[in-house]
Amino acid sequence: MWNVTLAGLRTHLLRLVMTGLAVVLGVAFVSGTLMLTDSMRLAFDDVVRSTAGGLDLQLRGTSEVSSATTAADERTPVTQDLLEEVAEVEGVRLAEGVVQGSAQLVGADGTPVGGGGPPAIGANAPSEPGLGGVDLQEGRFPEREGEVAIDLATAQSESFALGDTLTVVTPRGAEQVELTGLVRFGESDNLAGATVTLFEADAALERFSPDGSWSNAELYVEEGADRAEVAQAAAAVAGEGFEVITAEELVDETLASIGGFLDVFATALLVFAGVSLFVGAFIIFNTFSIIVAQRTREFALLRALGASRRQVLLAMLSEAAAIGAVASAVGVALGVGIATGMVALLEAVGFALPTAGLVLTPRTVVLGMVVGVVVTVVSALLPVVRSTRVPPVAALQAVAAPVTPRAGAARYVLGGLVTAAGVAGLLGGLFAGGGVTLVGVGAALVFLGIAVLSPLFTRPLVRALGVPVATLAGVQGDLARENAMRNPRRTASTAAALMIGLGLVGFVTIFAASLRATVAEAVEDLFAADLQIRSSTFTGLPDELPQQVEALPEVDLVGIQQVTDVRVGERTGFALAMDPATMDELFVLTMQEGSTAALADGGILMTPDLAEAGGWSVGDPVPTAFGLTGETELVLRGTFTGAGDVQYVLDSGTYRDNVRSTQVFSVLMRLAEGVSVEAGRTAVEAVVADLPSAVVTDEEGFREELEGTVNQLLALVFGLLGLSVVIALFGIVNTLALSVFERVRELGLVRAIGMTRRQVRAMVRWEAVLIAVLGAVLGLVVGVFFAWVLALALEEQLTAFVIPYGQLGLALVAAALAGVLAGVLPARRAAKVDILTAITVE
Amino acid sequence: MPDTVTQQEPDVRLAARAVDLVKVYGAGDTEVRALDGVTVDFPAGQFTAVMGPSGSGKSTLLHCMAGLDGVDSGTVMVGDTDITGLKDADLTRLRRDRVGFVFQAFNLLPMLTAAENIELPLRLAGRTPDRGWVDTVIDAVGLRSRLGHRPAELSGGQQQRVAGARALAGRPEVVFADEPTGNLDSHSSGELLGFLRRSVTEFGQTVVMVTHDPTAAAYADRVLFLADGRIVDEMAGPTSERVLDRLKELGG
Repeated sequence: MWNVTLAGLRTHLLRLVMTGLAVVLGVAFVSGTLMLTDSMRLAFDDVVRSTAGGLDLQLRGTSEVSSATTAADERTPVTQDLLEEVAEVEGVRLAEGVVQGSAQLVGADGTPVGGGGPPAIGANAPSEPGLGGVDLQEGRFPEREGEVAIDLATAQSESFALGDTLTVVTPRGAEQVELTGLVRFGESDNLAGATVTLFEADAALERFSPDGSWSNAELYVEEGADRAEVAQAAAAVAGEGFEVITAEELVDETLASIGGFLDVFATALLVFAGVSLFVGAFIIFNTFSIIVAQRTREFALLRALGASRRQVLLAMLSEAAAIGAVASAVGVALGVGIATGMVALLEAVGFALPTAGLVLTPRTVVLGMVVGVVVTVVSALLPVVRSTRVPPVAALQAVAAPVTPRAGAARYVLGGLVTAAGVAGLLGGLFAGGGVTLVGVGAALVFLGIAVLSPLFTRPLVRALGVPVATLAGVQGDLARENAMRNPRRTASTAAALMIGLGLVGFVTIFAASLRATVAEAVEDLFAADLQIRSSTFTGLPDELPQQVEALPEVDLVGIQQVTDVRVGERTGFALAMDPATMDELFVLTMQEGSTAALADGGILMTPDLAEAGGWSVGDPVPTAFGLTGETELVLRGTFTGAGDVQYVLDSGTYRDNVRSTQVFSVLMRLAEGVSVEAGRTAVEAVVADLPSAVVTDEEGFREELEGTVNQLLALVFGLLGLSVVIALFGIVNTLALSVFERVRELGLVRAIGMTRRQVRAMVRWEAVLIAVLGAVLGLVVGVFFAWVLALALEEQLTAFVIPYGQLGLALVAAALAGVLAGVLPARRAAKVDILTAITVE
Repeated sequence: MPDTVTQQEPDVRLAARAVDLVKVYGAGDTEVRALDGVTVDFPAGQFTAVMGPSGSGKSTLLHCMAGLDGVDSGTVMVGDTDITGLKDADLTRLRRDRVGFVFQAFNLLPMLTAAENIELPLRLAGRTPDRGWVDTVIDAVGLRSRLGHRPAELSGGQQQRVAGARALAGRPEVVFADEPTGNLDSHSSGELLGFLRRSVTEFGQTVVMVTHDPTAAAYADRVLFLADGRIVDEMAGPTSERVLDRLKELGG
């Protein structure tokens, strides 16, 4: 039977190519994701090993809270005295103090280098080359105030040369410095995408640590000394609150934290890859169903000639497996392109990633192949089993066109059950704490269930959708509608593939619109200041800035906001610190309980759900830990809503007592009586003129900025969903091409009795449009449902639920246009049908 | 001899005409001259049957006359129009507006009702059907009660009659029928042929029918006999016996 498989593959090459395409794209997405994350892992790995691996031991303060955000952990600093003491420990060759902070370079075009993406790190240059993995590539390390060395990659991308005068913004403000050296980190030209600016040691301390203490210390051990013993001795000297870890431990720790981020990143991408494969499965199922129907006589003949059911089954399964294998191989190869594309996509929306070329591991190949073959065979299983049910006698019956089996009640019971199970999964995941996996499975089941049910509403829906089409396109539109209705199962399952993509697009669109509305509402309540200064690069603002603005005659009141990671109860989160006196004037929290008034005296505010989760009421003590000072007790003074991603609010005094960083997150200002916002803005902008990363906004600008973040995320998700929509469109192409093949005689007939080629093409294109719009309508309905359920679950966070009818309408129009595109090829084939051949086929 | 086949009377309008048609399939050793210099007139208001043995070129003649197939040389006229050398779009328009078709099988679109099938060419042309005429045709084929049915719900004979009604619905200059009774039993054949006959006699239509059935040919006003791509004979006022005899002489 193997030769039957081969012959089948040969004869139906084109159809198989079309089937394979769905697998190719899905597998390409999966393997591209794996390649991308492997490459990123390797790039980080290299950097971490060459820097953290460059030292022997590290001395640092212990941290009670490990950072949940990108901010560095808060630790007790290493004083110069301690550094000198440790240097005396037996076996220590050298104790090198390290201080880090933010140093934002300014490009030739006046914008911050690296934008809002990778961090801009400032640090002290090593006292000798090679320490801490920092190697000098060109020039020399900075030797005095006013000199810097930067990483080679930044110098190359910004065309900075030795001797150039650069502008750099540190917590001390903007300044001009001379570039004296270029550095590399082991094998890398940069530090995982970050820009690095190195200052002479005292200059670095002055900028990043005004009290003169070091962030941590690198210890280098004398030759022959035992590292463990040295570590113990150093730890003993440092005493309580400090720890000494080996380079290996540091590498593992750093890699683990990066690895965690990469895992989340990879999972997110794989979810979208999974969506593509899910859509692909529909296409494969559909194509195999059509092929099996069209080859009924072939199977019957095989059976009549003595082939057993098992043999037919095996031949067809082998065919599916062969398609899956070839398509997967192509998919893995195409994954390289996808990975490159994803890097570009991420870069386009502002996430520059470090990559040192793409890595193709055997795991990627094996996983891609296995996933592709399994998806193909499983999707083809049902139609293949149907092929074995063809009775031998069918070979003798002249069947002009495949019979359309009437959908039975069993199908609808099954579809109803699957849909119900999906909805149950969604609800269980969202409301009963079943977690995100259950939500995902639920959503997939809903799509599957609706797909099973969809032949039920295909006829009425297509009939309704066809009304405008028939009006618009006349008889061609009418025929297109009739064609789309004649095989509801085929039309429905083709549309179902698009339904998934459009469902998710619709869901995300509604969710984003609701989020924007929520943000707008929150900003309106929250933003009582006239103006705000924020850093566009998350590097913080210079320490002097608040005083500088306060000195302006146009400014009446200034409040600063600072942020830190805290562990409250068991949970680590993001806390905003402000002076309660200015808070009520500039940044008005919507209090649900309690008030901001009592915050100053060791108080904390949080969102109601966090308070509920911790079991605290207003007035209760709340165990709170800071990285630097460890566990302490604050008092819950109230709960608030509508402050975006702010989870906890602290008093500035509490912040100062427990946090070493003086970095300012944002400066809020109220203008003096009679000063217009424009005049105020002009005055403030003059102060920050030399700070390229400082952004001055008013309420509207602040809102737009936040909405911009939502839109950016929306664009990213659209980009990732794009592939599944493309696969679904290929599905339409495929189904229509097969239908055209099946309707050759009809096409010949209509051509003979006077249908022009143009009309034939229009007819096929309109059918494609109808299928696409059907899928889009089903999808948008499901999307609205998903968004509605999620909005119910997130009632507290998502205060507005907005259905953007305009945008959804646009999605529908886009789907219709995509349908036109999908119809082009089949339409052309249909128009090329040779009349004589078609009508003389016996 | 082919030139003398039709005695052309000056006042008889021609529905279609072929002059010195040549149609060749293949090349070299496998060359087949399907039509080898055929000249023939089809006067308006006449029912012409075209007969001949298999491979005589009768279907090819019909296809060429109807603009379904091109010719290698010669001229085809439909009415006053020389259709040789017309572009595809013009040929399509010609078939839609001025020609009617009945094929041996698969004449109807399965998803349309009988009524919709009948009006399809008119709708394709964007023409408003002439209600009175269409009703007359529908009554003539006796399908009034089946108009809402789809082809799958009609018998073979009914399907062919729907095709006949469709061919006439646009009042074409000529109806070409290619073995229209080939798949029908004698009763259904009789009904269809009776309808074609009436369309000529009562409504003044022109019908050209290819057939290999002498009984069918007997419904025509005259019969043309083809052999090896040439017209070898014609017979006016045919009866099935005379046609059969003639065919036997031709070795069909």
